[in-house]
Amino acid sequence: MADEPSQTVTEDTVRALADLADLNLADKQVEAVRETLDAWIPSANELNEKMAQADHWTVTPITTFTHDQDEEDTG
Amino acid sequence: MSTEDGLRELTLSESARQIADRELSPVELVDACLERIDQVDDTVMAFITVYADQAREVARASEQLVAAGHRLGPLHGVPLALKDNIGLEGLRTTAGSKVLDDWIPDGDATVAAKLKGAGAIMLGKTNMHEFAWGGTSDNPHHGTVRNPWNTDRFPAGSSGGSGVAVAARCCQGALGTDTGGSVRLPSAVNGIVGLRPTIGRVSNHGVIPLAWSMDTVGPMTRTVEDNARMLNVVAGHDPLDNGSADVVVADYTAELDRGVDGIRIGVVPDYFFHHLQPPVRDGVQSALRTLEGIGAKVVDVRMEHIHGNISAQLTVESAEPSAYHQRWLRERPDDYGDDVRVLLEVGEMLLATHYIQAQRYRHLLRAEFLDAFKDVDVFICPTLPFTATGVGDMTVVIEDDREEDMLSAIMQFTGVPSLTGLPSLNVPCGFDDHGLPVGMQIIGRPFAEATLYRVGAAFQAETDYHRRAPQL
Repeated sequence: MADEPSQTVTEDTVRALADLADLNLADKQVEAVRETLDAWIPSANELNEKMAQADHWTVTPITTFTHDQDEEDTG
Repeated sequence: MSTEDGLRELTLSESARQIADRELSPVELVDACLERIDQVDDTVMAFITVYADQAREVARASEQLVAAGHRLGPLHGVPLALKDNIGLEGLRTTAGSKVLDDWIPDGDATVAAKLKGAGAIMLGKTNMHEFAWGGTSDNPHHGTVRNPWNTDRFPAGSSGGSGVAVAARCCQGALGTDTGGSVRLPSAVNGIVGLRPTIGRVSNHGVIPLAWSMDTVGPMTRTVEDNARMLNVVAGHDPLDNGSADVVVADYTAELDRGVDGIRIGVVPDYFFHHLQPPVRDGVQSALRTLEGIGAKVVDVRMEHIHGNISAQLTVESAEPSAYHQRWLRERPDDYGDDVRVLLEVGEMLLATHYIQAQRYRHLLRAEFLDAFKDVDVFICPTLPFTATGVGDMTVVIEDDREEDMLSAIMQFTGVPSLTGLPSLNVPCGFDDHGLPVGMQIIGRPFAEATLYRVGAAFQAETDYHRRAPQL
């Protein structure tokens, strides 16, 4: 019998994450969510590993602080 | 060719000029477009709402203004369409969803107001992937959009309705929105021109968001000149959008005839030409030879950090929509289509560190591209690695008979400008053996849209791909 493909993300993991997010995940959704996460998480973890390297310690996230015009101090 | 066919073949620029010169009636032009919508839209499902009566009324007023010597602006009397996530005051705006089925905005999106102020006539709102979260425009609430070159094939997305409406001659231009490729992808597979502007170049005020840090509105047209004319109208700083850039707007038509002599084109052979269907590779390589033949220089560039962009794209494009939709996903989950619901649920389960590392990666990739732009003026690559696949397909075969997930495959090349905020332009550059369009993507420096148009216009002056029409 061929080995089952290994899974990074299991249905139990999905249910636990849904609980943490306070998301009432219907049973019919669990497998589809698991399958997508299982496909994406290894690459996301690879990117985590890359960005955690010392070469990139000074790189900041692209999150910008925007200023509305009416914030200007006119006092 | 009937009179209506002749009118529909006019480009946006030709129509605008003829209307200004009183050689063309906006009423006749709008009627020709509405007739075309009647002919084809039951098949291609490009529109969610058509404002036939209102468009005719505005066209009559446009005609009277021209007769009296008045012209509202550069798009006076030109019929356009808007993707249905762009708000129009007093008119239903659904974002292709059931959640917003009866939502009526109390004001125009800034881009819609600018187009109306320039004299454009709004024909209707185009169909799209639900909430712009997907690349097929297979919409469970408003119908499956179909490619006019072959209605068994998909139109890509998420601005699939806008792409089809322009390609099928239902309107002379349209606006789409682009987060991970949603203007450029449907432009490529429908054989039209589509621009993702520099992030912040065009206001997002009044547009229903997908992922705030990557969203932008972009024009979709048949020619590069038409696209530049639309960008001239919609570009500019908007105090109502705090992501809007306060940067001077160029006249994007000014350099269209300048040619490409001396332009340096960067290519990244081991990424952008690595994993493609052969007709796509042939089409883009042939385009590069055409541009070299008229004076451009092609330069190989190595980009150390380009691998990883698809994961970063998926992470950011998942996490941000899930934050926006958090309440609706809990209160009315069954109102979402199956695919979008799963993606929104997935976005709730990515870790904060995944999102932050993806946002850090964007800086790394942007810095690498900005550094590369010291040696090149633009990059050119395929817009996507395959031509239009079958309607309803969730996987795609690019090479070696290997099935790949549609979402990851389709944003393989469009994700780079989305993550880095750089402008990029799709220009049609060929057809495959089945008559399906191939598109190339021209990527430029921040706010260098004029250079993209210059290269695109030089290519269109040498080729006729943009003049071919689907036989629908």
